[in-house]
Amino acid sequence: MTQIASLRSKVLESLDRGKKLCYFVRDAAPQREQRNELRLIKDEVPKAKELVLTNNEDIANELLALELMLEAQAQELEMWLALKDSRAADAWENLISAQDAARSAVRAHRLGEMLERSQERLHVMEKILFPPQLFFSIGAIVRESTCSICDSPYGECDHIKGRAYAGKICSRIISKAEVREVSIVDDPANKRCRVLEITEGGIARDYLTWAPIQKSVDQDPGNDGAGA
Amino acid sequence: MALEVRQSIDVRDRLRQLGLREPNGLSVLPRNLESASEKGELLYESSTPTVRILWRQCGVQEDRIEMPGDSIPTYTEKDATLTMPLIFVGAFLLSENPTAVSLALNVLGNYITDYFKGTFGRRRVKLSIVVESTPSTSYKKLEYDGDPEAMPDLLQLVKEMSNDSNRQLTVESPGELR
Repeated sequence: MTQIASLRSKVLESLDRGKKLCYFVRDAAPQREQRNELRLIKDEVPKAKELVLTNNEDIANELLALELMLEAQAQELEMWLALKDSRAADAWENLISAQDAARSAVRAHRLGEMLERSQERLHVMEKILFPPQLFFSIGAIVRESTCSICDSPYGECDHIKGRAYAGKICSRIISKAEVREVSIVDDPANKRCRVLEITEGGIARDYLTWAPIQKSVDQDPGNDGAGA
Repeated sequence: MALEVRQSIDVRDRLRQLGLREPNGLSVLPRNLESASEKGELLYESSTPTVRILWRQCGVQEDRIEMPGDSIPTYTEKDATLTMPLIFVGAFLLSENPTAVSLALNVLGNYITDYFKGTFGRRRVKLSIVVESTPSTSYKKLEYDGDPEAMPDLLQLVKEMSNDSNRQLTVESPGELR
């Protein structure tokens, strides 16, 4: 228990230091150092989880929240570094990973609730740092799915997807499905399923940066389209 | 649309046509119950297994419409909207055990709150409830599509839909109904 308390303090202190670096104008060197520190501390979490007795679900979920909090900040720092290197697509992926980790931390344990403000900040960043995106969404008939915690058919056990159990987030693993439709939506479940390029006036452009894509486009100007 | 209450199809008649069981209490109905041409086309909302787990954990008894051996698949749409299953509240349950209805709806409300915890931006929940009323046996359907925080008091609405079968159908904003 002392080891867990010490890890908790270490995580919270590091996150507090890291907050000061989560801005575009901060120098890349301390941002990289902080990211590396967060990753090193994150590596300690699985060892701590092993110390937790299987019946101590609350502590296991607290450790999961700490792990996700570290991941959220590391991904945000990665985003700033990617933006400085003009790697917009990587920055987008990092932002979405940061949002996912922060949301999961909030849901995993009450300790994670301290990230609610950070989640709001990440949402604002999405709106002001990146242009509006177009996303894809699928519609599918699910015939078989299992629970990631106990491997039972999903719905037959007592685990709820998105909730934390003994330090793990429950997912519904779809094992048999038929895709029926693919739609373009502006509010998807998965913000990684986005339009990557668009052809306008015969010029293919990166939909995120609007930079022309260097490739031959054998297309009529009137036959424009989008691709993922 | 935020909230709409309208006349529904005769649920029992439709279930009979499709060769399904008629529930007396609380049930989950397929999302395409009205439009399916045969039993094999029926699909539940993706959230159905989750709601069933939550009800089971709280001791809420579901009166399933499937015959033994039948299995109705779910349909998943990967957008950010939380679409809850289509719920059926039988007249018998409302008169004999209103506490069970209250518990079942509370469970849904708590799940919706928990689901959106830690999310920012547009939050959208869709849910539909069909309420059966007697003695004339009519069915009304409540549909909500909007912000989870502006959701009306579902139990109150269900009671109103059940008690006053001749009441003029209303379309009101959630704010007026709270």
